[in-house]
Amino acid sequence: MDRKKHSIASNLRFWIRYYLKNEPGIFWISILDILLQPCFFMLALYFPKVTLALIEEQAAPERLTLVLAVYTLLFLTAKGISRGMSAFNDMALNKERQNVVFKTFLKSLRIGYAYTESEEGRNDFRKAVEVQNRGSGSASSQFAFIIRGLAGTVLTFVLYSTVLGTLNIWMVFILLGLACMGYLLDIRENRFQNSLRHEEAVTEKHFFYMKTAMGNASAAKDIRIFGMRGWLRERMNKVTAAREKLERRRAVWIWKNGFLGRILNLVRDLGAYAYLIYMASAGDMTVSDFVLYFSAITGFSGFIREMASGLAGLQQASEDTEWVRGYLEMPEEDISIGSRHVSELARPISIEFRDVSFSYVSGESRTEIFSHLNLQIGAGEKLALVGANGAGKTTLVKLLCGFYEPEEGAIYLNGIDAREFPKAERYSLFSVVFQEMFFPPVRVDESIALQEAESVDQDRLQEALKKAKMWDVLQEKGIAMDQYMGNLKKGGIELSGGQNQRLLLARALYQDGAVLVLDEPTAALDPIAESQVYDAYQEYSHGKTSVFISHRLASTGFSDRIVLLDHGKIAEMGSHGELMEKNGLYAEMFRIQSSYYQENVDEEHQ
Amino acid sequence: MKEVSDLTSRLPLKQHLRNTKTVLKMVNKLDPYWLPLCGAGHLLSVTNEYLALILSAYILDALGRGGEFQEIFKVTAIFVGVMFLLGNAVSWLRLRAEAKQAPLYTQYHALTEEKMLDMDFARINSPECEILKRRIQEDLNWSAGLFSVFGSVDNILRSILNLIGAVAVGFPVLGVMAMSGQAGIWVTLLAAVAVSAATTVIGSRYMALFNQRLNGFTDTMEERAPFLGWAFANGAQFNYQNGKDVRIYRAHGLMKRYALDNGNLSEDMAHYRKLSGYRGKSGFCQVASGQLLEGMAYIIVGILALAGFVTLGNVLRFAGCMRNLFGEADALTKIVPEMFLNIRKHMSTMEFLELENEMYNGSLPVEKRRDGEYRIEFRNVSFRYPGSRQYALKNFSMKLRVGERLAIVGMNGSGKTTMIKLLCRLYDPDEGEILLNGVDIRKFRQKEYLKLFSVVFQDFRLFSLPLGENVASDCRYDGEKVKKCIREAGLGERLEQMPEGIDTYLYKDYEDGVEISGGEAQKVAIARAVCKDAPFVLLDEPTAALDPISEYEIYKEFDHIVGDKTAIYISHRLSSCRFCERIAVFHEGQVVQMGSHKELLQEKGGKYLELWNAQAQYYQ
Repeated sequence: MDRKKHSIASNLRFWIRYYLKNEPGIFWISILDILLQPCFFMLALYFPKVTLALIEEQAAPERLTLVLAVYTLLFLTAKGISRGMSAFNDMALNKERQNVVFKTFLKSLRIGYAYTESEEGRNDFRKAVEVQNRGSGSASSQFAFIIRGLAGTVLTFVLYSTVLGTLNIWMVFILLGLACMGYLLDIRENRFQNSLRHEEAVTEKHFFYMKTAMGNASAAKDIRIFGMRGWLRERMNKVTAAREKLERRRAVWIWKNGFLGRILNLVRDLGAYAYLIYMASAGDMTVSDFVLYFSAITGFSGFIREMASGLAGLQQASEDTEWVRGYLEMPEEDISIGSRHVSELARPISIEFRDVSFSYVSGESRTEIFSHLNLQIGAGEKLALVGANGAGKTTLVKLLCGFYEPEEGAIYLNGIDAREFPKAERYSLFSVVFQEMFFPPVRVDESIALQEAESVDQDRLQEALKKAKMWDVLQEKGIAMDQYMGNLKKGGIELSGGQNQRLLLARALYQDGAVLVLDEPTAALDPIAESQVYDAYQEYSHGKTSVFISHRLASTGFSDRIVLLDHGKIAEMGSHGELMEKNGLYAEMFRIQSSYYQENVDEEHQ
Repeated sequence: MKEVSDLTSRLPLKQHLRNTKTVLKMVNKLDPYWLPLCGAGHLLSVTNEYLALILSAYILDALGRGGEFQEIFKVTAIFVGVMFLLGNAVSWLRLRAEAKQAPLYTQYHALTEEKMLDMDFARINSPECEILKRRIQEDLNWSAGLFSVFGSVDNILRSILNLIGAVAVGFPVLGVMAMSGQAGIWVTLLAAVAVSAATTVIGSRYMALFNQRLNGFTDTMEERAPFLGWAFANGAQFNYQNGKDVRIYRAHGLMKRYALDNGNLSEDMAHYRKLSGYRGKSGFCQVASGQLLEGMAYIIVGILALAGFVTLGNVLRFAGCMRNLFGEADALTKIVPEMFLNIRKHMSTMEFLELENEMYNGSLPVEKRRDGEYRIEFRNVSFRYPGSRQYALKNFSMKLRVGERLAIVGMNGSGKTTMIKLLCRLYDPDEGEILLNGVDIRKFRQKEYLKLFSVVFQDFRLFSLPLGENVASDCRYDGEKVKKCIREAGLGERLEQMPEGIDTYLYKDYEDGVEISGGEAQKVAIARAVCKDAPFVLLDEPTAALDPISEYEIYKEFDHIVGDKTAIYISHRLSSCRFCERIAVFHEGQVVQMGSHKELLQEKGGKYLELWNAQAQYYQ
């Protein structure tokens, strides 16, 4: 991600814009609250003074009751509204902070895939979610809370200064001086807290890792068979012990730093008492004013420190905001407008890799996968892509679909540079069975078609399921399309790995893209199911350009052409017969794989 | 299993107290110092607060009667000095108590995960367990887990102590009030208390409505359209690699519906606004009733002062005490139910922790035999997965021969992995029995029985912890033995390259460790199985995406490593098991054929031949 640093003000504008657009109440209530805060602070300051003043002047009890009742009413209204509005606002803020996470997630589906897959992209995403996953401490909520508090405090501070200024203007400066020293201590503490933050984050990371490791249902088998309970428990204890040590250190340090602060307060209180008692005992001040000024003096430094810590908090919230904002403001893929449309392409389409080079770049390291690769796939051709693990088969598919961009050279679809098509359109040309299975726990039809239920064409889906030999399985199990996948809901559907793999096939057939790509579609299938897929392949790929990737060379028999990839190079290419005749790498691999199935196997291998 | 906890229904006070006791007992068990530290801190802090009130009363009165500066200041300085010392002590106690919270939190929330380690395997994925776990998540969703309990308990301690302080310091005012004989005071007092109480009642009614609605909403979760925002964002139901499917199949609409829209449906939002309204109104009432009492306290004491019953200095003292008295009593009416609710939110956790294992755990020790003479027999075993109608194994019988190599082949769902799970007592058979040396395996101590087996599952898991610990499955281990196992598994060279040797962390989830490939991970899993040195080793179809040659190599290599132990191999690829003397063919939960490859090929119309032909036809 392009890590642009925004100013605090700019990030503030970012959230204001966000709230005004999505939940304007948050903005307006905050403004109201900022204005109410100084009101009730001042009322609180004057309340005891007014009471004492009324007693001093021996006012009538009725007058005292009336005046204090009015004060109480004002106070109650101001503070009550402020509190009520904040409580109302907190709910809205919590809602929005979650929505920000969900929008971040949805955004991750609309930006460049290669980035979301990279370590950097995954980290950026994790951070963007993490800073919003701290309840009221999340970036979006923090901004609102702190600004609200800070603005209210500044206004109150100005009013307090005016009160104290009427007594003695020097008092204001002395208090400012003391408060600044207190502020320095706060800065010191902040710096210390920041220095612990990393360590704290590490223990938290360790804690959450161990928590998920222990609670991970998919590890439960290993945990039991290998008796890992003690190991994991001990690890967890280590994490807790580390946290304990950290917290103890923190407590000791803060106490020491706070001690200095308490000495400052001692000086301030003694000074204030001395000055005020002196004034009052000399008859220069009424008792009620004594109370007023003493509360003003002790309250004053609190506001300064609150402002200081507010600013520090804002700094942090602003830094956190960068993660979210960076993600949310990333340009979407579909926005990159193409000059052509895939609807112009005559089907089946032909594909050409022309002089394509590609490397994986991760930080400093660079792993070259393809260097000047040339490959043509004819319209309607069935291509088998074979090769050992790491030969570049899956990378080739990702380049083809547009998940990766070639560093050099280009990919042509019917002779047109693929970059001329909008990304979103280009993706839809392909029906791909990926190795990683993705079945969101939503309605069965939605989970298979990856479309919303209303837009699923049930007849076509049924057709696709039948072709993938899953329709009967679902019927047999009594699974209806409006049931839910996964175990999130009671009675959710869970299928075996092989059945899921066939559902993936159904998904690809349902989409009916111009190009069919099957990446190890039979890995989880038993031999008979695998053989069924092979037999049906002709039907699946009818009228399409198709690429079949497999370790199993058995899959090559029904392809027009075989491409053997070896370390990113096309080592051999041709029909099965041609390659066998050539007696190269392919022929050797085929012989090894097939040896077991030859009639004389026992003699050969024993 | 009991019905999952429900936060909306009314509970008798006794039950609330019992809940509180349960949770506090748990906290006390995890750290016996937290509660006393909180209590001591508040005790001193409250003392300090009242010292300040007494001081101000003294100063005002002294000034009122025209006291000397020196005299007044001397007393003031002593007070301030004592308060300073107490302040330091309070700070220390509070900090120590706070320092205990995060570790307590981790310990407490590790308990549920620890429970997952102890629970019957069959239970882990059961709907009951899932629902309870989701309930726990929902219960704790709107609070900060145990931190909410800390907050509540801490608040209540402070309130109670403050209340006691207010009575102790302010009680003379009661005498004064009685003495004054001013009827107006009592009227004011009664009126204010009545209005304040009414406000409190209204406020708590809103809070109750809030909680009821909130939890009522949670209860209907099952009926409402699922909302997967968090499940997607935190990786539970979505992996970044799935982004490929989303793009290719244009699933953006579907994802948006479940990740955002379902959480913001208009009915949900209306509900949400209502909730916010309740929260807001209850917040207003809370503040209003407090301020009302405070104002009333000043009015009463003010009237008493005007009538000369109370000195000017004592106005602040009594008003302060009265404010605290009413304020805290009022606060308690809110924070006690709040604490009850916060604690009640943990009852689902407690229920989870108290789940009892149903699996029979015998007491027979497993004889340790050097010769590995362990005979295993499945006798007429039938088994259905919980909640499934279909039998995974049906009247299944089989004997394992000591020291043999047995291959198990069969179609998906034929019961291969189920048989292993039953053998390892992850599940118990519904019918029939599994015998070890003629004794039902349920009669043995489970822990000892499990020592007999090493399994490399299809979906084995490694942890992002040091390599050595992963292999030894323990924090402490014999380094030489572990290294030997790693080398035997074929990772010797890779080990040499590791920066910290066997102390190198794997992956980057825990520490910044080394990334290992899928194949290497598999070898670590094999090293782990070897390291366990169990008399039975089982290999359940390593990564299906492996090419056939590599798969065969792994099996062959593994076979060499396990030496004279009993080994069972499962695979789809018939070719992988060709070194095995005996092949068992599973079909629909039964052993349909058994014999060597050659023998099985002779059986015309047999399942093995069918499987074999299915694969072989492409190589003819």
